[in-house]
Amino acid sequence: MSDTVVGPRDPYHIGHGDRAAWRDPHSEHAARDLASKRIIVGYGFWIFLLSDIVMFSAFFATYAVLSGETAGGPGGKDLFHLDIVAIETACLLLSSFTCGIASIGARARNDGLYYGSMAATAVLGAGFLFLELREFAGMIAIGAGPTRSAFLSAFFTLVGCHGLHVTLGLMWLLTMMAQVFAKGYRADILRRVLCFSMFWHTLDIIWVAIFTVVYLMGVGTQ
Amino acid sequence: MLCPTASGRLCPGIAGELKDTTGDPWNGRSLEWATSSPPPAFNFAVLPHVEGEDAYWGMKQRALEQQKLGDEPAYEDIEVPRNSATGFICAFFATIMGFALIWHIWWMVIAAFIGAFATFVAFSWRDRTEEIIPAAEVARLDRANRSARSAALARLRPAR
Repeated sequence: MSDTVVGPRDPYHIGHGDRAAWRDPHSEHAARDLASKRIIVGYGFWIFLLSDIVMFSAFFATYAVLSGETAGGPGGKDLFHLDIVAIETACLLLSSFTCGIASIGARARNDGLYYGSMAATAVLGAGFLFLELREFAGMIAIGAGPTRSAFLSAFFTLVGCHGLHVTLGLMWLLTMMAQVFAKGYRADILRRVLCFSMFWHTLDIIWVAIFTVVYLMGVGTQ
Repeated sequence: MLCPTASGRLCPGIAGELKDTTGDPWNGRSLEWATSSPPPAFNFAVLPHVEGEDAYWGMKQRALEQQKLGDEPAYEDIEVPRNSATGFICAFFATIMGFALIWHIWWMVIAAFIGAFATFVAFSWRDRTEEIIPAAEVARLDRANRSARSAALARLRPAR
């Protein structure tokens, strides 16, 4: 039994000075060693992402409260073009798929798969950003900028904050391509690729909520 | 005399008699009092053994009853992140960027952002991000703290 190795006083194998016992090769428990750095880094980055999601949920709550306060100006029904937003959504969802392929490529140390799908992710992300910026510019051009009404302030804060995240994510993506190019598939760089892909997938999750709460519900009601 | 620190490090006048060397000047209950003050770079010489709430209180009561500390642990090398000024430099650029955003000085926004991003890239480009504190150094620092705690045991009484 494992208890004879570590002792009943250490049921979770946290260890206390007797680390040699954790690494007992005859152990029946897989959790005999400390969690790997990859697990710890991924877990820590999830906690960061959750704090980011908390911030977004505050913006969502703000938007939900203010979405009807158009101050006599245009509302969601007048401003949103669902066909464009559908293309934006397709770009982002596809980019999450290529990002997943890129993590597989990085783990397999397959240059073509990694660089190819990272580049595809970048192109799709840039396409999303281009469409979003065009939408923002069009709205501002017809006088529906963030200062027009409380609804538009909340809209530009929420959607703009997501767009800012995508912009920073794109810069991070290019940095990760350059890092793998300069330093190879080193363990610490693979951990960063993991964090980047978690970040990118989280942006996708938030976009799905924006697509539903802002665009679909915005066009559907009023 | 205003004296906000416990260790007396900023108060040379009273440091002589009241200076705390144990890291536990207020007879604390939780683990932050189980290491020296200021703490070493590795915080804890070995992972503390936690059995319930107020883990340090339990350790301390055991030590007081037996009038000696627990056995000296087996020290090992400890890996810690290397020191870096990245946080400070990024905060500098972020402050400039915040100022420039408030006053709509767009060239300054871009310059500050590039500065922060370049700092981030330089930080991530390092080849050696961690360093090892050898077991001998861990042992030296922890033994100094343990001897201060041993001396303090005689002054305290078990809380029973």
